[in-house]
Amino acid sequence: MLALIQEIIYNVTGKTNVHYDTDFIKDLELNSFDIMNIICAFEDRLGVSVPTRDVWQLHQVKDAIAYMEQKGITL
Amino acid sequence: MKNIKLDPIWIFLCHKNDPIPASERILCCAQVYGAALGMQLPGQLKITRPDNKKPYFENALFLHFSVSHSDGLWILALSTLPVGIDAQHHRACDKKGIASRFFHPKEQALLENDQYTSFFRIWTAKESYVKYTGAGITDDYASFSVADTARLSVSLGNAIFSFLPGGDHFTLCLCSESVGTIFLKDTRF
Repeated sequence: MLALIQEIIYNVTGKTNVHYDTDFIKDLELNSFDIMNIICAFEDRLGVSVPTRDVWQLHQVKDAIAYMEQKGITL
Repeated sequence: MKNIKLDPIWIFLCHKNDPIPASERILCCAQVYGAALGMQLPGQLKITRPDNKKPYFENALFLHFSVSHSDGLWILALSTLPVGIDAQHHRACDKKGIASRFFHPKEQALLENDQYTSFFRIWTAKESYVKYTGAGITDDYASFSVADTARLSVSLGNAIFSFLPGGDHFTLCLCSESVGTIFLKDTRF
């Protein structure tokens, strides 16, 4: 799942150096538009829907991975 | 006769990687703004940042601010009334996918009519609006419209949209209750 997140972030923002502890805002300096782009790409890729209210609870890459596991979202 | 308050709004633009940290930049700019308007500001302003909510000056509630950043640009709006600002670099993206997920049907219809040329104006108007209200981007983001099928709206409720000069690569939108003088200070050059 980490590889997929790295790929999507790279494709959308061009950012690399993404790890489990990477913070989307503090480390990658993403803004809201970047994050919503990433969500769209993620939903499109996996055929799932992520409520916007949940997005703001996911601060780091590991939060996103834990969220997907909790929701039963798999590759 | 309706008493209209014309709000002086100051906009500061900086490079995002300016050596002065963003929080210090806000405090410095606020002091400059306050001094220019003859405000009695506390010597040390304090910014409170509630989780996922709009930050504010804890000890100067009469002074409002909004911050945005995008691809190297950092922008701050200061005002005596609630204000929201958004800047967005014109980066390649899935405009249709984003519009279908986050935009109101009227906004999507406008984009279909104008071949998506209004895309970044709609995005920045919407985001500046939810910064102005303090709601942020929520599941209701597609429930309100900043456009009809023919054109962008100039206002929404009490909020007025003003597009600022952003050059060829950025769109900048200010959302405020009233617009008097807008003072734009670009420190990037």
